[in-house]
Amino acid sequence: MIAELGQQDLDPSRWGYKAARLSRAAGLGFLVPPGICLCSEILGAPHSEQSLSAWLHIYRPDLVALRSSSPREDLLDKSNTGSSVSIIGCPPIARTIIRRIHSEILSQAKDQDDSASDIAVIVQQQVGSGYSGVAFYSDGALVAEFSYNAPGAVTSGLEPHTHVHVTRSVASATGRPAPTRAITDALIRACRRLRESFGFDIDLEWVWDRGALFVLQVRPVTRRLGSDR
Amino acid sequence: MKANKSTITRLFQKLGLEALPAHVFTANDRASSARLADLFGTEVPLVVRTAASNETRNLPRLVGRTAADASGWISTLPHDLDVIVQPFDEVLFSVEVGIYDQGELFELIPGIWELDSRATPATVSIDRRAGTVKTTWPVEEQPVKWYCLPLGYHAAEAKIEDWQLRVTIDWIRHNRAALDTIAELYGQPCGLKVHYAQHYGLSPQNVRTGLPDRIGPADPKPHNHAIITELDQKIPKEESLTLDVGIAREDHARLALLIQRIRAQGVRTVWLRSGVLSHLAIMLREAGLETRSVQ
Repeated sequence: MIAELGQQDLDPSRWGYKAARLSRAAGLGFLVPPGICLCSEILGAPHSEQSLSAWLHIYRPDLVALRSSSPREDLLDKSNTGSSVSIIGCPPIARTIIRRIHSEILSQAKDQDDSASDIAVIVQQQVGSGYSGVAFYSDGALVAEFSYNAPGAVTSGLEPHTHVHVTRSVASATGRPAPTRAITDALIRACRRLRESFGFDIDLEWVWDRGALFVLQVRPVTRRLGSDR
Repeated sequence: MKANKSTITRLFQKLGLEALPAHVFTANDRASSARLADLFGTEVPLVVRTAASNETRNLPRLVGRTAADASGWISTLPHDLDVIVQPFDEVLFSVEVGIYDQGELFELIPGIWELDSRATPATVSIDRRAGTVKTTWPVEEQPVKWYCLPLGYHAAEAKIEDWQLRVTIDWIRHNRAALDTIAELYGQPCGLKVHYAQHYGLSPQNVRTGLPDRIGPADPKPHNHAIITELDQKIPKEESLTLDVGIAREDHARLALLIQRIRAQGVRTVWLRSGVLSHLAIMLREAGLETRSVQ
């Protein structure tokens, strides 16, 4: 009921699709911030705090992000993204983390669905903000939107700093100065491999920090973008 | 105002645009070996370009010789040619800049950009009023041409790099007043050929005329028409075609013939992979053909 990302295949029916896909991506060699997954049923037990504390002690993150992972989210045809919870900027203190999981993640899940006992929570090292955003990859075409030093801005609906569109062999971008070509190259390479591995069009949340592309979330594209993109 | 390389070089110096130093010598003031050595040193390899009062294509030039050899070569030149001498420096990337009222458009490729280049450039459109920048670039590596003294011309695969685009945007913005002055003198739209020299940075080399009339939204893509990839390929009777050929600088006559054949078949629009600001594109427009970018 406790598992580190990337160390084993996680069954999505127990760990949720988010955790399962991140763990698989890490196992494939993608840069996934280190994380530990905790199933909700053990979160009340004393050993969960001890285990989390041990993980925090060896990984020494400055900050952690908490993300819910449910078998009812991130499905092939429906994201149910509104039910997903992400909390960033948490101090690396086990007791505080567990308290926030209970008060902000599990309680919300219970409000939405009384049978939400199969939810898991990923406690993950938070990478530097750098450039962060979302990319959609479908039929060899990539659309990406990202911002600098504004984690979560794109997913929360704020206007991105930069927009990139790649079709066949030509890319175009508008927006603020950024290492756009380097980021685009990395996104194309990552999305191609993820598409091959997972077998679905890719909706990728990512961070580009100091030249490295980190995978934060891998989901299927549930609805393709319109032709105006 | 007529574009002559020596007057243009002096204009660049006056406007503070010159980074790669240039010295202009007229027919009455030829550069002696001692003078070149004084200016550049005895062992520094030089680039010597020539300028005529009526600029034609493919004026003689000398690359990579030191002061003594350069001076000897200069002394053999016709008396109606001016001479522009610069230190040789490897060109990391080449830019063709278009100056328009509403902003600037530039095309960039790694290495040297000559008539035979088939590389697809990155294109950057800077809207002066909105302050926005739109960029397109080829995603894959492509063969581009380089020149270095040990090897001379050689081809190698390369990609356009982010810093190259950024440094050019910054250069344009920083020198906007000077670029506007050039555009006033030569008429808008007007262009600049610019090199990024390894040790000196961005430095303009020449002024271009014959640019497309406007920068604006991307042209609708061509479909189902002929793509010409060889100089002696048959030209169909169509209103438009795509041209994807490389022509060596010395093969000017073959290019002129190709353009003649294209016009004879009633073609009015030529789509190009290799940049609408390129030398090839300029020649096509000067021949009365409309040019559009395939990107």
